[in-house]
Amino acid sequence: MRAIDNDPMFRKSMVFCGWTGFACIFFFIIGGVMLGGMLPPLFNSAEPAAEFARKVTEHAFSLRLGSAFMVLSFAMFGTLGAGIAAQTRRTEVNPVFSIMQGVFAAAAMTIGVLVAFAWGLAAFRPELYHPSIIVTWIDFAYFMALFSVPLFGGWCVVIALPIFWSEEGREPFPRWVAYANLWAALLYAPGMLIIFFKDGPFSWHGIVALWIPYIAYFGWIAVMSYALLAAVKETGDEPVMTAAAA
Amino acid sequence: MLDGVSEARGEAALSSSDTARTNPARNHIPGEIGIWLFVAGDLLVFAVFFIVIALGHVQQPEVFAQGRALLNMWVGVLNTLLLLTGSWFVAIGVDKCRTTSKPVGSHYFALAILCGVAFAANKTFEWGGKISAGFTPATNDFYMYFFIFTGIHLLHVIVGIGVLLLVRSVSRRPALARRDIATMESGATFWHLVDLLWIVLFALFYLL
Amino acid sequence: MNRGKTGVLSDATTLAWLILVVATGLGWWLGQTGQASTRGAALATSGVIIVAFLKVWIVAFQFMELRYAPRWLRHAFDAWIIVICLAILVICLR
Repeated sequence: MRAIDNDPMFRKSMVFCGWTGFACIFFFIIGGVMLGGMLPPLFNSAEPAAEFARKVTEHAFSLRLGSAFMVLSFAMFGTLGAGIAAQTRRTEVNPVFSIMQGVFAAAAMTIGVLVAFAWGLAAFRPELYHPSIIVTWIDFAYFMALFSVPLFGGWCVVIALPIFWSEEGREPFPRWVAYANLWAALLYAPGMLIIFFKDGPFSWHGIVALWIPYIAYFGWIAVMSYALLAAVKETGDEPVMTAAAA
Repeated sequence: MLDGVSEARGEAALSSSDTARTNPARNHIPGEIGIWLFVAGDLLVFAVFFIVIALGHVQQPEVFAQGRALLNMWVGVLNTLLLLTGSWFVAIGVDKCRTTSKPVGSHYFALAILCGVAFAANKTFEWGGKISAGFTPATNDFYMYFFIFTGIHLLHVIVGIGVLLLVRSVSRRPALARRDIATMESGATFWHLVDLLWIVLFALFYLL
Repeated sequence: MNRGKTGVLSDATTLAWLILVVATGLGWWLGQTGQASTRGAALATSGVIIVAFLKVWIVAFQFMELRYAPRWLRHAFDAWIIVICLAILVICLR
């Protein structure tokens, strides 16, 4: 196993990963909230297809620009996730959870950019698409974002478990971070209800299935970015050769 | 060996609870700070749920009154009593683990787990009865809220049963370290959270 | 070892449980009364909500051991109970 002491790049790399998390939130606020109409939902799951087509035509430019910012934002799931995995890796003798975290981060990033693709495609040629196709793209975007609970929730669980199982004083992140992760996973869960409802709080425009998981997710990104920056800044937590590496 | 056991337990009891008992003003956060972050988060989410239910109750009074009249009050009352009793057992169990050197705490946790399993079974029968009588989440908003919100709560109960199984196995260790006590207190805190969320759900769905 | 103190604590815990059981019965009775008649329905509704949140407070104070917790934690919990209780009362009685 490679020792990671005498690695002057390590801190810089981790700080970079941590700040991409905050940048991810910043670009989502521009792309998803201000321009794209994803979070205060521009569309209503229960309205007729013609209404979707009208809204897309009316807001075509801001939806397209918003999608571009959202791709930028969602691609940063990968960099933040890699930083989290690298920090977990430092406490593992044989990497298991850090590999799982890497897999989950890669999948989350893929699904994330596809959300932005679907959103952009809905606004790509509204004059040519049948309205029901526009509805399908919007549905597809929300399904990838909200129905993917085992992916985003599972990511939280594989971050929490190694923290709980570490010996005291050897945790990759403080223990409260593990609780915050489990809580986030629990909050994503109602997102799976969108398959059963087209109106009300459990549909993809509702408070329980849309707002709670989205706020929890971006709150989780803020927590993890902060935790990552704090973990590498801590004195006595510099990259050191682990006992097993020696 | 036995002396070592009781000494370790006694020490844990002394460090984490004894002074808390003699001097209640002492600031003792039950469990770890992390579990309270979790509790706070869950309370905020359920606050949204409670308000959604209350708004439904006001906006569709007839639908809600009809739906409510068809719920079996006994099932709700029984479930409330099961969770209250489970919480009672958990509170006693945690206290026994902190203050006695004999591992009797685990029996109380086992009783609490039984209460939780009985709750889940009772809930399943209630749901089964409602569904076979033709009431589903698609029937109306009352049943939609009823099934989904009690379903999310049932998920908490199932997680809580898992947590209590963990707490029970920790409580059977021959020597309880300070960290073990904190683990048990954290687990107990989660179980009490499940209890208090049900108290409000019970009032909103069955009693209003 | 600490038998005396344990007794006191268990007694408080058991007392809390008894109060909670009685309060459940009270809530039930209030609910039945409220559903049966239109007269005094608002009173019964407020009663049901207030009894429920009192039960929540007892669970937090005794079972969750907030009575021994730092003041900020206890007060934060109390604030949640009061705010949500008032919010539901306002919604239901408006």
